[in-house]
Amino acid sequence: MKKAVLITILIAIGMILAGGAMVFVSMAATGFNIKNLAQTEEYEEKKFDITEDFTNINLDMDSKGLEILKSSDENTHLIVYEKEHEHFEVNVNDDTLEVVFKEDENVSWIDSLVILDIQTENNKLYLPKDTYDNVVAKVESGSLTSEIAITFGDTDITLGSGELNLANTTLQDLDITVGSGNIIMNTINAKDVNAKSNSGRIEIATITSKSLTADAGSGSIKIMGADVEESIKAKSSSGSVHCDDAKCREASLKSGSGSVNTMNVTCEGNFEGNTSSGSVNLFETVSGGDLKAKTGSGSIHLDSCDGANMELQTSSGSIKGTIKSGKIFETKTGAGSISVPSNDLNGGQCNVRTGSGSIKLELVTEE
Amino acid sequence: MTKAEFIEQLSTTLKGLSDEDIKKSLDYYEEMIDDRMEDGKSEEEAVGGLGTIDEIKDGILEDIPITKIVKEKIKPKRALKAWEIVLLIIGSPVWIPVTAAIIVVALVIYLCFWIIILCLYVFDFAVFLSGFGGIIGAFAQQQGFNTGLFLAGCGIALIGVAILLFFGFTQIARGMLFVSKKIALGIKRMFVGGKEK
Repeated sequence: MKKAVLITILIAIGMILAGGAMVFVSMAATGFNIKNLAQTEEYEEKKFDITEDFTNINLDMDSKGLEILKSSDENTHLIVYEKEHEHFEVNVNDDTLEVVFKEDENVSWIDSLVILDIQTENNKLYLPKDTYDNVVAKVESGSLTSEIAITFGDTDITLGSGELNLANTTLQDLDITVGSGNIIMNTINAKDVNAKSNSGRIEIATITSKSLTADAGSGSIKIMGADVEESIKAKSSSGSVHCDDAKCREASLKSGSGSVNTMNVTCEGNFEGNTSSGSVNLFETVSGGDLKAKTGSGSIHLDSCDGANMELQTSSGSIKGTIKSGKIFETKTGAGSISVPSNDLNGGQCNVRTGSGSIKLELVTEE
Repeated sequence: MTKAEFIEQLSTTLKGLSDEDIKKSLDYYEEMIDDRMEDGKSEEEAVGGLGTIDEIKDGILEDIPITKIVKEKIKPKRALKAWEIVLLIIGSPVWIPVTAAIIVVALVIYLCFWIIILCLYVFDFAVFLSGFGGIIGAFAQQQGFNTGLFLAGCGIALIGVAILLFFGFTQIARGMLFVSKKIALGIKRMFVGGKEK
């Protein structure tokens, strides 16, 4: 090794040791609590007491999360955390509560240099009434939580990078768009529900709605306990899709590279479980119309499933399981064994195709 | 091995190269053997000192671009007959896309090597810039000595890490270039060479 290279490497190791020692000393001086190095002390709690009545809510929260809570008196209260060059404007105009986050425009780059900015307290909105009309909420980089029993009209929620927790809420139309966080909903009664997260997971438990659409970019989707008048549509690009204990007219569950799983799903009309490269596992899934299960390169497993007509198709996996009623079978496999019940001429069509796996279907008799 | 035997073996080994390249290489080695013999070595000693035929072949191939070798290989050595031309035209929907696909795959693999190397250095530069930013932040911040010390420490340590990474990444880059050279040589070998008599 050349002398110059050796000296440079020794200097680099020296810098790492010296830098590490400086970090250690600074941490030791602040009690090994990184918050003591942050600028949290610059935040100031500010409380707004709103005495005017309103029925609509328009929230534009930029930097911190928001919790919606029940007010203990007849007034609305808003608690926010402001720091230098940032403030909130709160007004009631045209029967609408407007909360807008404002940032000073003329801030020098040194003042906007954020170093270890740790602020864990969420902003809080205390609402006195049980019912409101339209709600528009936009939170750029924090979470939004509302778990009180409350009724909203049409609701539009947009989060940039936080998590949405919504529970015990009755709504009209609900539109949720989240950039990179999770969407967690529990005990929701709504008309049309659209939930979209680009890179987080979507979990919906105990929902009653007219329609339900969940679209996750790279996260998984879990629907547990859904009573949907029209259709359930769930689509994930690379996560798995689960749907348990659901009742609906039609269901379409799709995944790009994850699995599609159901348990106890009943559709009056068609059911479709579709994935490009994962497995499809259907348990106690029954559709009054067509039941389709398709995958590009995974297996299909059915347990006590049924449909007026069935179409089961994979390019390179096995298709196995039990179905509830007799069918006229049409089967095809590139390389594998085939075992299906005898054709029942009173039953619907059951088209089963696999490129390179075996087919084994049995009839299950209900006791 | 005598000079004549060596030249004959080398000529056979280099089959597939253009006549011009073969002649150039043979002339070069003939001259080298002559020079060694003029210096007082015996014919066997002069030939033996050049290395093995395979080593010499690799040395020659390294200097000739792969495109030139492939071009020479696929260039018809005689005028094509009518049925051969018809066959080429009929088969063109197959061989043109296949050839294009092979070329594209080869180019992509070659590009990947360079992109990986580029990524390593970009990452290293980012670490260095972060360290530099930490030191500037230490002076720019207004939160007290401890925060400044923390940021300066992080900055100095990151610059040290960036320097070490530079040497590590340079070794990786050299290794990757060595591998890519070997792959290229392997491909060239597939096109060049005849059976020794």
